[in-house]
Amino acid sequence: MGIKYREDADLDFLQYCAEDDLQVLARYMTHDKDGGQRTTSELLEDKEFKRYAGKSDQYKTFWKLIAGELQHFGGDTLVNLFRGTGVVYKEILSDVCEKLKVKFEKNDSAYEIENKLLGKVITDSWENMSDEQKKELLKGVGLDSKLTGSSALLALQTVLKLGGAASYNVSTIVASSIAATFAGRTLAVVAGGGAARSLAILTGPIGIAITTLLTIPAISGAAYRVTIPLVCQIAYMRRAYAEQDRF
Amino acid sequence: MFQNKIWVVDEAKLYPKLIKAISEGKAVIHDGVAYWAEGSGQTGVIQHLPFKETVVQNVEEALKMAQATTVIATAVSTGIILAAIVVQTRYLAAKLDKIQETVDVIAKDIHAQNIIFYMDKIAEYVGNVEVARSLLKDRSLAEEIHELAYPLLTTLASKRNQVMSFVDNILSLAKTSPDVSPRHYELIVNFAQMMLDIMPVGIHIEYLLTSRIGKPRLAEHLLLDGAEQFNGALGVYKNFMNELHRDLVKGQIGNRKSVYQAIESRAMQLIKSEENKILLSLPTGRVAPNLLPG
Repeated sequence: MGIKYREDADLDFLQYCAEDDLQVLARYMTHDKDGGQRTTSELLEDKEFKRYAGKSDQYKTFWKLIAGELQHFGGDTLVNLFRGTGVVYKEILSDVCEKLKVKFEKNDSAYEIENKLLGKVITDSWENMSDEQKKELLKGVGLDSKLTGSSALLALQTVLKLGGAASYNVSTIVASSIAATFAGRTLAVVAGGGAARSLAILTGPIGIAITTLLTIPAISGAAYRVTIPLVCQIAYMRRAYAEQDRF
Repeated sequence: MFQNKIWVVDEAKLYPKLIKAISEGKAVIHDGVAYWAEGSGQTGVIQHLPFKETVVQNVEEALKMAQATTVIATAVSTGIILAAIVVQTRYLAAKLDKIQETVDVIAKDIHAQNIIFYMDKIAEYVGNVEVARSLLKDRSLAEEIHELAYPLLTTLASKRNQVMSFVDNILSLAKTSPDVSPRHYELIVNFAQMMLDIMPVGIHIEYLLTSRIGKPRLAEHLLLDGAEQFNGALGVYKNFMNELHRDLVKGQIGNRKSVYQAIESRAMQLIKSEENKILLSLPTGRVAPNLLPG
């Protein structure tokens, strides 16, 4: 059928992303957890993409193919066939959030919805964390590590809603846990900050929370096993690049 | 692109004592005149540099040409070749024409009184830069331009200040005012880009004219002061573009996207411009302060 990218304000930023980050993103669509190539993916079969194999900017050059494939993953196969394109990212993100029972407003931007999704992942992971891990997480997002119990969680959710560096740090931790669990690799963290230190210590509980989410019968379909890691990776990439100065 | 004959330094005719002074960091060159530098133990002019005619296609080629020569010639040539391009070719005139066109469009499009006021100032500044360039074209007139140059330099410095603050103000307006339509936004951003593009050249022209009338220390001061002012305005523009990019990454850029995409690579070129750095830098050292001509 051929992948067609549908103009999407929430995915345009992918053109600025580094090769490593795009590779991780694409990997969720092209391979399953065990490393097997997905039959539903068209990216690796694309002639032009294949022609660039081995080049250092292969994924960057074809960011629209990657974004287009992502949009196809979010859409219904049959509908995609007729329409020729998939669905826009916000629709995929909203779908994921509805499945995971993340509360959001229709008027929220994708960035705001992603913050709420990250909040959900952190909330679900919180109970599995030791006191030391909780302290590390609070420190990683710039909060007082002496906070405890529900007030700590509430503070965490609040800074996440505000976006900025805290949201970036959490997205790094979440995306790294997912990459380690589902893509068998670690992320090349774009910017530094407290998150880097927290990565190792928090990968465990967040990985457990994500795995638990993905095995809930209602959301264990093949599409969600792809789209949930995808939106978490996008959330991380968006925050990483929003933290950087381009000029 | 332009193809032009320009006058460049004829390095074969440099005095040995100048070559020695340059290699020892004891010479400073302003507008084709080599002076003894501060700390050299000597004062005054070492040599009025000899020139020869050459053909250049574009700025990049000319700079490469300057940098491909010997170390001494590079120190002498780089700034001089850029100055020659600015003064002797259509390089500046083409930029000024573009600004004038934009000023006309903005003045027609935006009827706010303060905008019209500033557009007038900009048109005056652009006109004055062009007059200064015209005075600089013929080196043999150096003695005859003094009386014209003095008031012109005062006006240029004052208009430059006004233009810089206007760039700052208009970018703040574009960033914060919800009343700026996409059309006006595009005009404003393009305009700021063009003004910042022209400012290093304008400042360099001020510096050259001041040197031409025999005031090298004042010329140095003007260049350094202008560079500081320009870097401040460029910093504002840089922040503005970074914010816009951040909005794009967050998917919140809305109808500003096409403007951002249209200007992105030009803004990057401006912010990273090596030409501008050369235009706004002093040659090594400063002129020895005593017994200066003029």
